Amino acid sequence: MPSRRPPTLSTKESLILELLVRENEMYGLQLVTASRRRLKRGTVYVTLGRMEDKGYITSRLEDPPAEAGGLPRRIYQPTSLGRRVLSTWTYAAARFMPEPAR
Amino acid sequence: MTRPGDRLRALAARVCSAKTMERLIDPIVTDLQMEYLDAIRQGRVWRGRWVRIAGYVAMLKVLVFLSGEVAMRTLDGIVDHDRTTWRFIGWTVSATAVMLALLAIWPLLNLAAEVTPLSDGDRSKLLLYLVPQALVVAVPIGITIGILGGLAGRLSSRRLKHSVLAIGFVCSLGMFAMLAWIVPASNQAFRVTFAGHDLAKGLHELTLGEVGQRVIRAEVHGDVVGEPSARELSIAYHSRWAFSLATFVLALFSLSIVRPRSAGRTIVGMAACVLYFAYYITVYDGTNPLRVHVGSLPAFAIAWFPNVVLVVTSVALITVRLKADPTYDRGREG
Repeated sequence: MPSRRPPTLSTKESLILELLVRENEMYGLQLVTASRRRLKRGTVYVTLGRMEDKGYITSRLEDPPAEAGGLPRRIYQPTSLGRRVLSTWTYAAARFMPEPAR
Repeated sequence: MTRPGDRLRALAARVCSAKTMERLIDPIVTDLQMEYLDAIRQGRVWRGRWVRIAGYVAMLKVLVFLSGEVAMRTLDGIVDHDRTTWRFIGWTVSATAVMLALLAIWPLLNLAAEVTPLSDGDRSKLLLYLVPQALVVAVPIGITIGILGGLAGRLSSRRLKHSVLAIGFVCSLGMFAMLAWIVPASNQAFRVTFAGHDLAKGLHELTLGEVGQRVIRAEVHGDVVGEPSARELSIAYHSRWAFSLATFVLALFSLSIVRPRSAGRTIVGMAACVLYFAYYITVYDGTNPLRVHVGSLPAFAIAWFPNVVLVVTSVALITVRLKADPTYDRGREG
């Protein structure tokens, strides 16, 4: 029988989930700006890719404005699993630590 | 008309999977292009330039990270649970590989039109001849990034730090051999293959011994019109010795500034690395400000200046930190 590991949440992942839960959907660059540079452009997509693999977020492509041309942009949203993991993690952090570590 | 990032995206598409392109590379390129377009529409030219640089740096970071992930997965099977060590190795190897590709393959691609008349064999030789001079830059940068990326923000043992320094020193010995003999020979081979006929050696195609002999000859018999002066030869001679220590000096400096609980010194380390190389580039092409504006400065002082500055700074930082916390370098990977 395969063992099921409980979901884990790194500092960056919890920050991303907090922002996405607050705004419901955001582009990667918006996450970088909203995080006040705690997330870095470029590597934020590595974290977002991992979170998508874990099932915490989903993404969809959005066509750019007609005058912009170029590649479509990817927009990210939290899943119900992601919201549950975030709320559980926040609850656990509040119980065991006086202040959430960042 | 190509947009900013299109060429880099095309290069990444040759080595990355479709999933990686879709999830990592395309979003970075899209951000770069959208921000650049916004800046240009608003007439903010400098903002546009900054956006381009930031976008290219972001993409390079991700490519280095991806190479490190592949290296880490490959090395994970080896029985050694010191993940900090393997992080250092992964970052170093991947950063060195990326720099080697940029410094060897990229110039050759830019010469594509001129080398088209050459045979496939000659084009392969040209690439091979570019590798040594790319290596003497890629290895010090790779180890610096390995330390700043792999060790920053993590506890690392004294044994690891000493091993990293030892690796830096061994690499420096290898760099000396490259700069003394291999790079001059490969430079000359590149020039001859590209030109298609024999060419007289320039200053950068002379071995260390040949440069030394010319220094003595110029000092005894005086400067000859049309040939490098005694001072130029002397600076070149001492610079090859000094620059061969780049790996060790940059490793020492990077180790002195990384902290186990903070990754914030990365910019300082990279800035020092960039300044170090910029200094030696100016020595190489004769525009070094110390040489131009302080004509009385001895050649060895011009050549060894950055090494002395970085070593003294490193020793001072380590001494201050040891006095403040004698156990700072005894942290162990948990």
